[in-house]
Amino acid sequence: MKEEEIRSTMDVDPKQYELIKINGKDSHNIVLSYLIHGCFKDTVESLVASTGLKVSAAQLEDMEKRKRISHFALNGNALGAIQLTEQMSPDLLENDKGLLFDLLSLRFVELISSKECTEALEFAQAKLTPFGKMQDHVEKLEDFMALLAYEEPEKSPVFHLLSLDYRHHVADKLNRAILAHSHMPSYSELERIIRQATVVRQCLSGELGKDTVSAFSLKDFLKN
Amino acid sequence: MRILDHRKKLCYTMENLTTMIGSKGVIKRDEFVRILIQCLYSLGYDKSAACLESESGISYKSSEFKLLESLVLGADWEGCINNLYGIKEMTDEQRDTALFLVLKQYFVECLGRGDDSLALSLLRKQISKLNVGREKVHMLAFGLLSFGALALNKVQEDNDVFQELRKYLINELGKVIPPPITVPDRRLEHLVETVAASQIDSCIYHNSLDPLSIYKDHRCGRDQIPTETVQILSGHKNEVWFVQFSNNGNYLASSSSDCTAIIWKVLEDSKLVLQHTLKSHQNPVSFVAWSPDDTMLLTCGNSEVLRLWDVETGTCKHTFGDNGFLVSSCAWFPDSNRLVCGSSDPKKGICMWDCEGNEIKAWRGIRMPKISDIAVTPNGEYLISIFSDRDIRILNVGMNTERVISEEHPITSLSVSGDSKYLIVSLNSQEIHMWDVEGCLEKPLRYKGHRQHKYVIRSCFGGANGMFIASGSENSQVYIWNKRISDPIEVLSGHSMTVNCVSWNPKRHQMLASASDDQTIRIWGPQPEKACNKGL
Repeated sequence: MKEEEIRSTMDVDPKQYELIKINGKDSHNIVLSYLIHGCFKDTVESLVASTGLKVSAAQLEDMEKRKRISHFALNGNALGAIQLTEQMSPDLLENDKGLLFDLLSLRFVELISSKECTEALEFAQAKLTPFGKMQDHVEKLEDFMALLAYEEPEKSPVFHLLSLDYRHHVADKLNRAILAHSHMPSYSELERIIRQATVVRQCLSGELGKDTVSAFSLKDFLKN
Repeated sequence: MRILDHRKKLCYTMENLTTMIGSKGVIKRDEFVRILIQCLYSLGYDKSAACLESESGISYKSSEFKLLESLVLGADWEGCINNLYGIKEMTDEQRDTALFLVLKQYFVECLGRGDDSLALSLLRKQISKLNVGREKVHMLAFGLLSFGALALNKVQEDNDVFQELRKYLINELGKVIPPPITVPDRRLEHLVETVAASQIDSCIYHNSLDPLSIYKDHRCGRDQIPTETVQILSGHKNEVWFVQFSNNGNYLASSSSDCTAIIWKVLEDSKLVLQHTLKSHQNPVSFVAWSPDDTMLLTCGNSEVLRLWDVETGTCKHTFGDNGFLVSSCAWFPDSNRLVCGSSDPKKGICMWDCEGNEIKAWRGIRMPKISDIAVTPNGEYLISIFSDRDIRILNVGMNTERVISEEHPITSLSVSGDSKYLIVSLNSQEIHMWDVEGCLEKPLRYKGHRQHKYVIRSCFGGANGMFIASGSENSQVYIWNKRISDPIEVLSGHSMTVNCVSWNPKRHQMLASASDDQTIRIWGPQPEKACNKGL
């Protein structure tokens, strides 16, 4: 729907929502795209079985690979993730130095977390030094190196680099890059719809462009 | 009494005891000699300094410091650390700073030798535990990646480089370790300067920027400030309401109820001659303002329009607004292109123009009250105006924020200091109040002694460092204050009627001009040297 149409329906009695027709296939596809994006292979197979939607073997294989890569990244095998990525999407990491740096620094963090500081230092000297000369990455590199200074890095000012959140952030970034590299959408349709709804609401309530904007709340959305 | 004198004499001849010097006996001889030695070293007289060390038996560097020095030069880092822990006079903060300096050198030398694991261990076990800024610690961590990150050029173990760095380290330690182990840099110079500054501070007639002689205690006499009439200017045909020197001090502008303004030139010998008479106003001219580059003059009056004149030719270049636009006062911005004027007509507000007559900005509106005076600080940052007689509004031009100081009595004049930091207002309660522009003072500094009840009497800053304030008065006298004292230091007689306005020459610090209802302008200067009373 165009923005003006959305605005006019929102001005109208919410019961009007029920008059809008939605194609059932669209709903299924939205859910399917989300599952494919997140590599939920088993769920996809189950959904395909119950709805009659079609998913190709190539798509299934692609999901399986991406799933393994994410798993490696999240669970202490950054080097494995790099290797698989290079197999699956050659020259992706060549061309995206930022992403390569993120993955290498994950490896660095893994070594620090397992208290192998000398190995961590050697790894940094061997693999991370070139990034020290790049304007875009030098600050981040300084933060990572700072982890070496503390006997208890989880209590240091840069403790956030050790967190699961951070690993998720890198894994997501990698997933999107791989999808984009294979010319697939890097954001699922579901995510894009939520984003659009948020922007529209911010725009209507005059929040857009201001310093504090309220994030999407599913609860609030369903209430309206 | 005599026995005590004898004992004092004995003390002075016994050189190997820690004796006192000076008539009050509060200064230790050892310390005095030590700062003398430091002074000789800092002036470059190394031989003399060493000679004095040997003759007096007093060493510039204390034995504790010499020990630390040898530990550093010998790279005995553990020894250094223990030594630093042993110095009781240090605060924990000072100690951590010193330890960081030493450990950093140790760290750098490890990296230089290729001993990365020892460097890493130092960083983790000792350096990161110190209470110094984390950026310092993180910088060292980054240095583990590349020696170059530590801003050092040579990578291999090079003894010369390390020795240089160690000497630099000793220097830095000297700044952190407190006395008596070290002596603060340039101590003697500092002590003498403090005394000189304090003497200048308490010198009420001090009116020059020249350096002092330390051969004698500094005290200026009243011959430093204008106290005598040196010239009477009779160009006007009626009451003279306003005078102001140009920014370069080469001209004086005056305005009168005879509806003219006059530009006078200040000659080499400090005499003034009439240069131009500016005629075209229909009503008394009560205010003039020099452009910061002194090429133009603005004139206006309570019932008059604003006119712009060219100083060199004396011709009127522009008239602002129409006949109904009455401007009470005006001021320039530092670019000598933009000017502001305030109207005595409420609702007309404040306008900003450029020299061609284009309006740039205006503060208008129903709430705009009458503006009686307006000024711009010389640095162009603040626009100050007097609203409704009693409010001082200080507007920060860049940030568009303002604050208001409300006085209890009507204000008749506003002046801003040359350094843009202070403003003075003359009040009908016979006081002059000084406020600071940025707003740190909660109460004003007050100056009194003159007479001001009914008329507009104006005051100004003056003197070499803006140290003085001058004002007219209803009892025909000119009053001069030192900024630090609220009572006048001089009262100048000569005029026969109310003195309306004064102006102090910004470049010739001993020249003051006053404008009076007696239709004259008087130029004041210092007492001639022969007749003066030097010192008090």
